[in-house]
Amino acid sequence: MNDYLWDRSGEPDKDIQRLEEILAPLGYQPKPLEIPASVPAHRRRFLPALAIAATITLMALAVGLWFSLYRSRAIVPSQTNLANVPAENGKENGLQSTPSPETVRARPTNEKTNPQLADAGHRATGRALHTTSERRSGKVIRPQHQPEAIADTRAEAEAAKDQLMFALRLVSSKLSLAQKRAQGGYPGNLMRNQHKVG
Amino acid sequence: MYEVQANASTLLMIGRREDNTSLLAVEPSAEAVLVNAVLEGDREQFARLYDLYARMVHGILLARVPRDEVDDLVQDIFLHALRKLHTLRNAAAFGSWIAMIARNRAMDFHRNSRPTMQLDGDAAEAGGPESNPTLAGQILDMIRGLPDAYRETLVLRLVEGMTGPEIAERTGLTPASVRVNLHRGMKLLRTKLGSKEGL
Repeated sequence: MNDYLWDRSGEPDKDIQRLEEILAPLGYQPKPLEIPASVPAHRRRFLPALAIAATITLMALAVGLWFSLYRSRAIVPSQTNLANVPAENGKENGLQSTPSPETVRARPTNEKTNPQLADAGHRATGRALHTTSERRSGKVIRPQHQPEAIADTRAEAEAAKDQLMFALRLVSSKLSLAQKRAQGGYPGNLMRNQHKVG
Repeated sequence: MYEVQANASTLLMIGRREDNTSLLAVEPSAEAVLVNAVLEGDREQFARLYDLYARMVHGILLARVPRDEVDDLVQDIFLHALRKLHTLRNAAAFGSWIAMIARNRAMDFHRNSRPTMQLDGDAAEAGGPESNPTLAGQILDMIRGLPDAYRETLVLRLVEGMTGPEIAERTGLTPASVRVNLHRGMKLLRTKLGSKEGL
């Protein structure tokens, strides 16, 4: 391989040397670069980093808001359930909703002697267990006698949902803007390493 | 025995490559340092970038546009680069970035001046309307008539006086592709020169 063409090492190729001599006058003649004062000096902006930080902050705020509202919604009705459900059960069945230790102790004998009473007792206990399992699984029983409180909670939830949606939309638009700005200036080196002929 | 030697040389090459990469990882390139300095507000460092890359930009343009337009376009390209430098994501890739700007600017030049050009005969084949009476001009026209990848590399080598490794380093092309372009382009040029005996 002719090394002279590559890095001017080795034995000089006379044709190439002659071409270099002929073409040299057409080459670059150093001239100072004249930078007009009107050219603005753009400083690097850490736009992607700022966008990421803003996104994380907004997401954290949105999640925090949603979580606090969810907790407030979940706690208030469950507290009312704890207070109301046993009383309602007692009213409906005409029985004590939470059996006292004495009744529990006495139940085996009562069940043997009075099967109807035992059946009613099982139903009441089952109802109490049902409400407990519903509460544990996150299903909230809304109290029927507080429509204003429900309306208020619903309004708060709607407002929180709107805020959350707005925050998410804002984050999305900021991200897309940052992406456009990050990609906009530099078209990419499309001709890099090509061997295309013609 | 050959296998052992080959393995040893491979190991040496790998070792050298690792050394190089570790050096590159520790020290940023000179271009990156200059670009970062300019971005920090030190405009004088841009003159050093200009000194480093003006020859390459001149060669890229000379391979594509008329000679009397080249000097003005070089200045325009560097001013454009200064304005848009903040959009350069990888400071070490300044060379390939400004080379791409130069190629795009050359394409824009032809796009904008196309209606006023009248190409015919050898001038059309040579890729430009210039009629160069001098020997240098005629050879340059022949180089311009070569395929795109070859003419740029040949102009940088024969007109601008850059070596193959320099061309690879400045333009961001791989040394292997520069070597291939040089040799294939030179072969085509020899054929063209041979067909025109008067040169």
